[in-house]
Amino acid sequence: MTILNKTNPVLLTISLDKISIILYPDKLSSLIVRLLRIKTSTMATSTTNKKKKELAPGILIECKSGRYVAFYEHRTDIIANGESEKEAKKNLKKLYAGVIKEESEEREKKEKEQKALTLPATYKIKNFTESVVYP
Amino acid sequence: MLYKRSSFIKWLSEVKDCDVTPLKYAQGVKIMNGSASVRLWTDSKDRIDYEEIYTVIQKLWIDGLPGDSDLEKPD
Repeated sequence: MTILNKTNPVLLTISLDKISIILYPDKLSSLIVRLLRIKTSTMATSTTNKKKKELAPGILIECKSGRYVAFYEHRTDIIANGESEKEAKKNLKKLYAGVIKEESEEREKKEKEQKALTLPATYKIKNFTESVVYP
Repeated sequence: MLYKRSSFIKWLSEVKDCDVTPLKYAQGVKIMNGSASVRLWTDSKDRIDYEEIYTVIQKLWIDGLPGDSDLEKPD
């Protein structure tokens, strides 16, 4: 980016968004401020989106004894119970959070193991194709 | 009908050869029958309803339900 003089237009290139704008220098500072604001707000939104909670539909079974069994429709393998509806739902929430945490930990562990199985970057590799008959 | 949760879990592991492991981050157990698995909430009350037993049996693809002679009733 070069500014020749106050009257000359400037070519501003933002590599991150791949935008090129021609504008006059006196407007440049305000535009940069605006762009920075947009960038920060986008970053904030993307971070919050990752942690965004969604409503999960669930099923409560009222047992003959008066107790309750609860599970979510998308994870019917996680089953909790309680003396009341409220307790059953609370217990399910706790159980679900624990299971998800354990599963994500296991997933990370598997990913690490898979990475360890890939060839080191220093290896010289070449791709090839050959006509073969599959069994 | 209420039964002791521990007696149901014992029946699953001893009679139906299911693998039972405690959960790491939650108060519960993971029960596995081959590739089928279920996570159950457990507490000190040690009680389970027959409705829950039925749901668990279905989830684990187990043939046959436990009877009164297989399970213990709470005190």
